[in-house]
Amino acid sequence: MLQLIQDIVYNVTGKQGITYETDFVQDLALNSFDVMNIISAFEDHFDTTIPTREVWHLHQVKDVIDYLAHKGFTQP
Amino acid sequence: MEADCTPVTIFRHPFQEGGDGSHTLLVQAAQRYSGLDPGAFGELRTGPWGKPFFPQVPGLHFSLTHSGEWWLCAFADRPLGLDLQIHRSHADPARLSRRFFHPLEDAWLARGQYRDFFDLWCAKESWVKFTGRGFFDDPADFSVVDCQGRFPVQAGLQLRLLPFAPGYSLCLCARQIGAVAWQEF
Repeated sequence: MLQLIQDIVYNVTGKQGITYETDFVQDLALNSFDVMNIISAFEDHFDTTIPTREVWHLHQVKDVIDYLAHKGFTQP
Repeated sequence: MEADCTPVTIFRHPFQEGGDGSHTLLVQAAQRYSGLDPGAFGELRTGPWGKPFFPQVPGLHFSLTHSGEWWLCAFADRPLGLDLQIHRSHADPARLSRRFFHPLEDAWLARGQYRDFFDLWCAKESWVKFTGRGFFDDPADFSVVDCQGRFPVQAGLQLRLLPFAPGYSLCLCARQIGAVAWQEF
Protein backbone atom coordinates (compact mmCIF):
# COMPACT_ATOMS: atom_id res chain seq x y z
CA MET A 1 0.00 0.00 0.00
CA LEU A 2 2.92 2.35 0.70
CA GLN A 3 4.04 2.00 -2.92
CA LEU A 4 0.55 2.92 -4.16
CA ILE A 5 0.51 6.05 -1.98
CA GLN A 6 3.99 6.96 -3.16
CA ASP A 7 2.90 6.59 -6.78
CA ILE A 8 -0.28 8.61 -6.37
CA VAL A 9 1.36 11.43 -4.44
CA TYR A 10 4.18 11.58 -6.99
CA ASN A 11 1.79 11.61 -9.94
CA VAL A 12 -0.35 14.34 -8.39
CA THR A 13 2.26 16.55 -6.73
CA GLY A 14 5.68 15.46 -7.97
CA LYS A 15 6.78 14.82 -4.35
CA GLN A 16 9.01 11.83 -3.54
CA GLY A 17 10.70 10.22 -0.55
CA ILE A 18 7.51 9.29 1.25
CA THR A 19 7.64 6.99 4.27
CA TYR A 20 5.05 5.73 6.76
CA GLU A 21 5.79 8.70 9.03
CA THR A 22 5.57 11.38 6.33
CA ASP A 23 3.13 14.16 7.27
CA PHE A 24 1.30 15.49 4.23
CA VAL A 25 1.20 19.09 5.42
CA GLN A 26 4.29 19.41 7.65
CA ASP A 27 6.69 17.39 5.48
CA LEU A 28 5.29 17.67 1.96
CA ALA A 29 3.74 21.14 2.31
CA LEU A 30 0.59 19.99 0.55
CA ASN A 31 -2.41 22.29 0.55
CA SER A 32 -6.13 21.49 0.31
CA PHE A 33 -6.10 21.47 -3.47
CA ASP A 34 -3.33 18.86 -3.52
CA VAL A 35 -5.29 16.77 -1.01
CA MET A 36 -8.44 16.94 -3.13
CA ASN A 37 -6.48 15.74 -6.14
CA ILE A 38 -5.02 12.89 -4.13
CA ILE A 39 -8.49 11.89 -2.88
CA SER A 40 -9.72 11.92 -6.45
CA ALA A 41 -6.83 9.68 -7.55
CA PHE A 42 -7.57 7.19 -4.76
CA GLU A 43 -11.23 7.18 -5.73
CA ASP A 44 -10.29 6.39 -9.31
CA HIS A 45 -7.93 3.65 -8.24
CA PHE A 46 -10.42 1.93 -5.93
CA ASP A 47 -13.50 2.86 -7.97
CA THR A 48 -15.22 4.31 -4.92
CA THR A 49 -16.19 7.60 -3.31
CA ILE A 50 -14.32 8.74 -0.22
CA PRO A 51 -16.27 11.24 1.95
CA THR A 52 -14.08 14.32 2.21
CA ARG A 53 -14.98 14.91 5.86
CA GLU A 54 -13.35 11.57 6.71
CA VAL A 55 -9.93 12.41 5.37
CA TRP A 56 -8.96 15.71 7.00
CA HIS A 57 -7.78 14.05 10.18
CA LEU A 58 -5.42 11.77 8.23
CA HIS A 59 -2.13 13.57 8.73
CA GLN A 60 0.48 10.92 8.05
CA VAL A 61 0.90 8.24 5.41
CA LYS A 62 0.36 5.53 8.02
CA ASP A 63 -3.01 7.15 8.90
CA VAL A 64 -4.09 6.75 5.26
CA ILE A 65 -2.96 3.13 5.22
CA ASP A 66 -4.94 2.43 8.41
CA TYR A 67 -7.99 4.24 6.99
CA LEU A 68 -7.90 2.30 3.72
CA ALA A 69 -7.49 -1.00 5.57
CA HIS A 70 -10.40 -0.10 7.87
CA LYS A 71 -12.55 0.60 4.82
CA GLY A 72 -11.58 -2.73 3.33
CA PHE A 73 -9.57 -1.29 0.46
CA THR A 74 -6.71 -3.53 -0.50
CA GLN A 75 -4.32 -3.15 -3.36
CA PRO A 76 -5.41 -5.28 -6.31
CA MET B 1 -20.46 52.36 7.11
CA GLU B 2 -16.72 52.56 6.56
CA ALA B 3 -16.22 51.84 10.27
CA ASP B 4 -17.88 48.46 9.77
CA CYS B 5 -15.34 47.49 7.13
CA THR B 6 -12.42 45.32 8.04
CA PRO B 7 -9.02 46.67 6.98
CA VAL B 8 -6.83 43.75 5.98
CA THR B 9 -3.06 43.49 5.76
CA ILE B 10 -1.62 40.67 3.69
CA PHE B 11 1.99 39.64 4.22
CA ARG B 12 3.70 37.74 1.47
CA HIS B 13 6.95 35.83 1.50
CA PRO B 14 8.61 33.50 -1.02
CA PHE B 15 7.78 29.92 -0.05
CA GLN B 16 10.43 27.27 -0.31
CA GLU B 17 9.98 23.71 0.83
CA GLY B 18 12.45 23.06 3.61
CA GLY B 19 12.92 26.79 4.17
CA ASP B 20 11.50 28.82 7.02
CA GLY B 21 8.53 26.94 8.45
CA SER B 22 5.06 28.40 8.19
CA HIS B 23 4.94 28.84 11.98
CA THR B 24 8.13 30.88 11.97
CA LEU B 25 6.84 33.06 9.15
CA LEU B 26 3.53 33.49 10.94
CA VAL B 27 5.13 34.75 14.15
CA GLN B 28 7.38 37.13 12.21
CA ALA B 29 4.44 38.53 10.26
CA ALA B 30 2.25 38.74 13.37
CA GLN B 31 4.96 40.74 15.14
CA ARG B 32 5.16 43.19 12.27
CA TYR B 33 1.40 43.51 12.02
CA SER B 34 0.68 43.92 15.73
CA GLY B 35 3.86 45.51 17.04
CA LEU B 36 3.81 43.02 19.92
CA ASP B 37 6.93 41.36 21.32
CA PRO B 38 7.54 37.76 20.21
CA GLY B 39 6.78 36.49 23.71
CA ALA B 40 3.32 38.05 23.66
CA PHE B 41 1.94 35.47 21.25
CA GLY B 42 2.50 32.40 23.37
CA GLU B 43 1.47 29.03 22.09
CA LEU B 44 -0.17 28.57 18.70
CA ARG B 45 -3.21 26.33 18.99
CA THR B 46 -5.73 24.99 16.55
CA GLY B 47 -9.52 24.98 16.80
CA PRO B 48 -11.61 21.81 16.57
CA TRP B 49 -11.32 21.79 12.78
CA GLY B 50 -7.72 22.85 12.55
CA LYS B 51 -7.88 26.64 12.31
CA PRO B 52 -4.81 28.10 14.06
CA PHE B 53 -5.04 30.90 16.62
CA PHE B 54 -3.06 32.54 19.41
CA PRO B 55 -5.06 32.14 22.65
CA GLN B 56 -3.00 34.92 24.28
CA VAL B 57 -3.93 37.41 21.54
CA PRO B 58 -7.64 36.77 20.99
CA GLY B 59 -8.21 39.94 18.96
CA LEU B 60 -5.64 38.93 16.34
CA HIS B 61 -7.33 37.23 13.41
CA PHE B 62 -5.33 35.74 10.59
CA SER B 63 -5.54 33.33 7.70
CA LEU B 64 -2.60 31.45 6.21
CA THR B 65 -2.22 30.10 2.72
CA HIS B 66 0.58 28.85 0.53
CA SER B 67 0.79 27.61 -3.02
CA GLY B 68 3.49 27.43 -5.64
CA GLU B 69 6.23 29.86 -4.76
CA TRP B 70 4.32 31.99 -2.28
CA TRP B 71 3.32 32.02 1.37
CA LEU B 72 0.67 34.55 2.40
CA CYS B 73 -0.94 35.53 5.67
CA ALA B 74 -3.80 38.01 6.01
CA PHE B 75 -4.36 39.82 9.33
CA ALA B 76 -7.35 41.77 10.59
CA ASP B 77 -9.17 42.54 13.81
CA ARG B 78 -12.10 40.36 12.77
CA PRO B 79 -12.39 36.85 11.31
CA LEU B 80 -11.30 36.39 7.72
CA GLY B 81 -10.26 33.71 5.27
CA LEU B 82 -7.63 33.85 2.54
CA ASP B 83 -6.73 31.31 -0.11
CA LEU B 84 -4.06 31.27 -2.80
CA GLN B 85 -3.81 28.60 -5.46
CA ILE B 86 -1.37 28.18 -8.31
CA HIS B 87 -3.03 27.04 -11.53
CA ARG B 88 -1.88 23.46 -11.84
CA SER B 89 -1.72 22.42 -15.46
CA HIS B 90 -2.14 18.69 -14.80
CA ALA B 91 -5.40 19.12 -12.89
CA ASP B 92 -8.57 18.02 -14.66
CA PRO B 93 -10.98 20.83 -13.74
CA ALA B 94 -14.09 19.18 -15.20
CA ARG B 95 -13.53 15.99 -13.25
CA LEU B 96 -12.74 17.76 -9.99
CA SER B 97 -15.66 20.13 -10.43
CA ARG B 98 -18.12 17.29 -10.92
CA ARG B 99 -16.76 15.45 -7.93
CA PHE B 100 -16.27 18.22 -5.38
CA PHE B 101 -18.33 21.25 -6.34
CA HIS B 102 -22.00 22.14 -5.87
CA PRO B 103 -24.17 21.52 -8.97
CA LEU B 104 -24.70 25.29 -9.40
CA GLU B 105 -20.95 25.79 -9.42
CA ASP B 106 -20.30 22.90 -11.77
CA ALA B 107 -22.90 24.16 -14.25
CA TRP B 108 -21.51 27.71 -14.07
CA LEU B 109 -17.95 26.51 -14.64
CA ALA B 110 -18.99 24.26 -17.52
CA ARG B 111 -20.63 27.21 -19.28
CA GLY B 112 -17.26 28.97 -19.20
CA GLN B 113 -15.23 25.91 -20.24
CA TYR B 114 -13.87 25.78 -16.67
CA ARG B 115 -11.58 28.79 -17.18
CA ASP B 116 -12.61 30.17 -13.76
CA PHE B 117 -12.00 26.88 -11.98
CA PHE B 118 -9.17 28.11 -9.77
CA ASP B 119 -10.94 31.38 -8.90
CA LEU B 120 -13.90 29.34 -7.75
CA TRP B 121 -11.71 26.95 -5.82
CA CYS B 122 -10.11 29.86 -3.95
CA ALA B 123 -13.49 31.43 -3.24
CA LYS B 124 -14.75 28.19 -1.68
CA GLU B 125 -11.59 27.69 0.31
CA SER B 126 -11.52 31.29 1.58
CA TRP B 127 -15.07 30.75 2.87
CA VAL B 128 -14.20 27.54 4.74
CA LYS B 129 -11.14 29.25 6.18
CA PHE B 130 -13.36 32.10 7.34
CA THR B 131 -15.67 29.67 9.12
CA GLY B 132 -12.70 27.73 10.48
CA ARG B 133 -14.32 24.43 9.52
CA GLY B 134 -12.07 23.67 6.56
CA PHE B 135 -13.51 20.98 4.33
CA PHE B 136 -15.00 19.02 7.21
CA ASP B 137 -18.19 20.18 5.55
CA ASP B 138 -18.54 18.55 2.16
CA PRO B 139 -17.49 21.16 -0.43
CA ALA B 140 -20.41 20.09 -2.62
CA ASP B 141 -22.87 21.10 0.12
CA PHE B 142 -22.46 24.85 -0.38
CA SER B 143 -22.15 27.13 -3.39
CA VAL B 144 -20.35 30.40 -4.08
CA VAL B 145 -22.43 30.75 -7.27
CA ASP B 146 -26.05 31.75 -6.80
CA CYS B 147 -29.13 30.77 -8.80
CA GLN B 148 -28.68 33.81 -11.05
CA GLY B 149 -25.16 32.76 -11.91
CA ARG B 150 -23.47 35.48 -9.84
CA PHE B 151 -19.99 34.69 -8.56
CA PRO B 152 -18.50 34.93 -6.00
CA VAL B 153 -21.34 35.18 -3.48
CA GLN B 154 -21.98 33.98 0.06
CA ALA B 155 -24.87 35.26 2.18
CA GLY B 156 -23.83 37.92 4.68
CA LEU B 157 -20.22 37.90 3.58
CA GLN B 158 -17.92 39.36 0.97
CA LEU B 159 -15.74 37.23 -1.22
CA ARG B 160 -13.20 39.33 -3.08
CA LEU B 161 -10.93 37.97 -5.77
CA LEU B 162 -7.61 39.81 -5.54
CA PRO B 163 -5.08 40.28 -8.32
CA PHE B 164 -1.84 38.38 -7.73
CA ALA B 165 0.96 36.97 -9.85
CA PRO B 166 0.14 35.47 -13.28
CA GLY B 167 -0.97 31.87 -12.98
CA TYR B 168 -2.39 32.25 -9.47
CA SER B 169 -5.86 32.80 -8.03
CA LEU B 170 -6.40 34.55 -4.71
CA CYS B 171 -9.60 35.19 -2.75
CA LEU B 172 -10.33 36.96 0.52
CA CYS B 173 -13.46 36.38 2.62
CA ALA B 174 -14.74 38.59 5.47
CA ARG B 175 -18.00 40.18 6.61
CA GLN B 176 -17.12 43.60 5.17
CA ILE B 177 -13.77 43.92 3.47
CA GLY B 178 -12.14 47.33 3.82
CA ALA B 179 -8.83 48.51 2.44
CA VAL B 180 -6.33 45.76 1.64
CA ALA B 181 -2.65 46.55 2.25
CA TRP B 182 0.28 44.40 1.19
CA GLN B 183 3.58 43.90 2.96
CA GLU B 184 6.61 41.99 1.70
CA PHE B 185 9.02 40.50 4.17
